[in-house]
Amino acid sequence: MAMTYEKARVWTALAVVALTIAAVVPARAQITTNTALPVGKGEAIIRLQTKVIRSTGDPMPTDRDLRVTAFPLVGVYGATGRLALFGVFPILDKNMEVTTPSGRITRNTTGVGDARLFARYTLFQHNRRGLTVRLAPFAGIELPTGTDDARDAAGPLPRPFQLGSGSWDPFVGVVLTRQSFAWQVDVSASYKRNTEAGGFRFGDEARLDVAAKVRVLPRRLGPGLPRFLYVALESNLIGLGKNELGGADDPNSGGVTWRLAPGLQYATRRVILGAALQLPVVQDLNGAALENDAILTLSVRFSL
Amino acid sequence: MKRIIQGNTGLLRPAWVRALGLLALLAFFTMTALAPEARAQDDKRLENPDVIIEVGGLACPFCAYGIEKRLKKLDEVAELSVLLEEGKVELKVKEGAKISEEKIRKAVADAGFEAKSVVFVNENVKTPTSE
Repeated sequence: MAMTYEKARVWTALAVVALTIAAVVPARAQITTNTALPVGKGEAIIRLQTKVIRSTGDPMPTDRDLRVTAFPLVGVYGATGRLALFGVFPILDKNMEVTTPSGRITRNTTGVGDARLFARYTLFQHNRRGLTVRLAPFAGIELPTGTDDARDAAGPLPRPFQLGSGSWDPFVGVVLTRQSFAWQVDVSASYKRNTEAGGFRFGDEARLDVAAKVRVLPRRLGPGLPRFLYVALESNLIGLGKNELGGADDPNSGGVTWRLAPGLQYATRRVILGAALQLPVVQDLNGAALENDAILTLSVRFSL
Repeated sequence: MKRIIQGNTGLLRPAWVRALGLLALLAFFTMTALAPEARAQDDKRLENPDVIIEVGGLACPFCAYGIEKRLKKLDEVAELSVLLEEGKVELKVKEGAKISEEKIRKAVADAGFEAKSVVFVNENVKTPTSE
C-alpha cells in the first residue's frame, strides 16, 4: 500500500493549504481574488501579504495541529498600458504538531516556496467617467524554487509539507472586472496543470473566484482624490484533482473547497490595505481529509 | 513530552519571518496611509490649469495615482491634479513649454486609461497637431 489512510488525510489538508498559499495574488487584486485593473506602462507595484492558516479538530489519536504562515511577496510591472508582468515569491513557515508513540512532536519547515511568473493582457476595456469594465486573460508558470526533498530528524517530510512541489506547473485564466466609484466586482477563473516530479504529482487545480466590494466611506465623493473604505465579500471555489503517487491515483486526495471571505479594504492614492477572514462553507474532500479552519489574510500594496 | 524537530529547509527562522511580515505591514501603514503630505496631495486642485483631460475608467484613488505618475513623467508638465469624481485631470504646463494632444492621449493610454477629451484652456501651450 502506497500510504496509510491517516497519512492521506494529512496530505490532502496540506495540499489544500499549499494551493491556498499559491493562489494567484497579484498586486492589483482584491484581497483574495484577481482583478483586471490596469498597471501603467513602466509602473511598479509591490504587494506584501500575510496568510495565517490552521487546521485542527483531528478526530484521530494523533491529534494533528497544522499551522502555516505565508508571506507572498508580489511584484508587478507594467510593460505597456495593457500588458502587465507579475512575480509571486512566497516565504513559508509550516508547522505540524502530531502525537506519536514517543510523545508530542512538532515538525517545522521554513523558507522560500515555489515562485510564480505570469503575464496578463487586457483584451477588452470599456471606459467612461467613474466606470471601467475590463476583460484580461493571464497565463504563467509556477517554478520549482522551493525545496522538495527536505528531511528532519523524523525522516523525509511529506511531499505536500515540503516548501515546493519540485515541478514546473503551467496555468491559464481569465478575469473580468467592473469597477465604479460605488462598487467593484471581479470574476476570475483559472486552471493549473500540475506536472510530475520525483514520482509524485499534485492533482490539477481549477478555481473560480468572485469578489465584490462596496464603498462605505466617504459617503459622498469630495474634491480631489479622496480615500476609500470598502466592505468586501469574496468567494473562492477550488476544485482539486487527485494526486498521483508512482503513477496511481490517490483516492484520499482532491475534492472541492468553497470559502467565503468578508473583509475590509482601505485605498489611498499610493497604498491599499486589506484584511479578510476566509471561512470554509463547503469542504467536500475525497477521503476523510483534515479540514482547514478559518484563514486570515492581511495585505498591503503600494505603488513605487 | 514535547519535542521540536526543525526542518533543514531554509536559513529563515519562523520568528524572523513573522517579525518581517508584521513590521512591513506596520511600517507601510504608518509611513504612507497617515502621512500628512499624502493627505495634502489628495485635496490639491490647480487654480488656472492649462489643459483639462477627461479620463474614462478612473474609479478609485489607487488607480488615479497610476495616471498621475505617467503624466508627471512628461517633460512639459509642471504640475497636475486628479479630480476623481469629475473624471478629470488638470495640467499646468511649464513656462514657455508646449505640448501636443497626441502626447497627452498616449500618456493616458500608457497608464491604462482612455482620454475621452483633451481641452486646452490655454491655447498658447498647445503644439500644432502633426499630420
